[in-house]
Amino acid sequence: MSSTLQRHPATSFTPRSFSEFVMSSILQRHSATSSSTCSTELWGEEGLRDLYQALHDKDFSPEFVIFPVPMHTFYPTTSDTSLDNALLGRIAEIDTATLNDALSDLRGARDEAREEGFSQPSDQALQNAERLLKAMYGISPRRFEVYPTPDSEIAIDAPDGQGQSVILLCDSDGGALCLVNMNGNHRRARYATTKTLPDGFVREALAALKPQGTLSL
Amino acid sequence: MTVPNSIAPTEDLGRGVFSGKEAKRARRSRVSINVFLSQKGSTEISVDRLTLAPEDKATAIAGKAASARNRAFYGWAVVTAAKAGGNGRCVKATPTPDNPYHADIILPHLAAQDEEEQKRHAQELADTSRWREHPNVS
Repeated sequence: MSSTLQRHPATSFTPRSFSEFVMSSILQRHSATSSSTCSTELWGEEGLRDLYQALHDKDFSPEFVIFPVPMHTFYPTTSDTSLDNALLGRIAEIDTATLNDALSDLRGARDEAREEGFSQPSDQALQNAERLLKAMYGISPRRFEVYPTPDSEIAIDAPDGQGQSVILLCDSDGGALCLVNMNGNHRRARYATTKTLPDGFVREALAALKPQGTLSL
Repeated sequence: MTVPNSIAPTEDLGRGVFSGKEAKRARRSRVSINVFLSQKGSTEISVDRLTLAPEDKATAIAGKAASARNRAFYGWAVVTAAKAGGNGRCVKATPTPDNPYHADIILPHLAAQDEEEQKRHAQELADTSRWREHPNVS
């Protein structure tokens, strides 16, 4: 991978300096030369905070850990949960087009609801769905299907093509329902608020799905 | 030809898709759970017995259903009767004058008033389905 990154003025992300720390750590390993930034624009402050927490969660040890960088997404492989060791890992680059496609579907959800004769999803459902889509992509990068339902929910749907799926339904009252189907074995969790999401239930379910092959090392 | 009332486990049952966006999703991965949601308060999901129906008749029946909705017909999300009848569901031949190949996937009775249960069943049916494009869709 040829890196053309450059240290960018710190963002105002809180906890302070995390995003800059991520970027500077990457840059130290990649002799960056041009401009890029680890901004909150793509992932949102809460998305970055989720990532930060995930990296320091002793129970969270994915094979790949995602780093939020506009245009490209970096994946250091690690079996360690510490950020330092994660950054020392192998770094790969993937195309974030699948995330952008899902975000485009989200932006079209109101039109789709109108075409299908569904009740319109609320602004809150759309905002929650956007944040959670990005966070779920961070956990399991794949082409999420995003669409409205007849109950004015926004579905963030992750089918793995092997008879399994994880679906997060963001309702118009600010809550959510997570449905997990693993070849006919079902689990589900109902949330009155999405503030705690993605939680361990969602993370574990996404981790159990077969990965999609978008990673190029 | 007389259409038998008993449905073999290996029979393909098709749920008609009348949305272009659903068809795109189906080509990319699979249909959404919306395709397999029953009507509010109902436990029946209408399907066509594609193994028994000659293709021209099946598409003609689906085309007529699409016209009645003022929509286009794009294809079927197909499940086997064995899968459709799993997890407490059953399948039943329910021929109509217009469609001798009509059948219903019937959800457990308790699902009628439980939307989460309906969605759970819809998810499983969507996950197990495969896409069969309308032969005349380019």
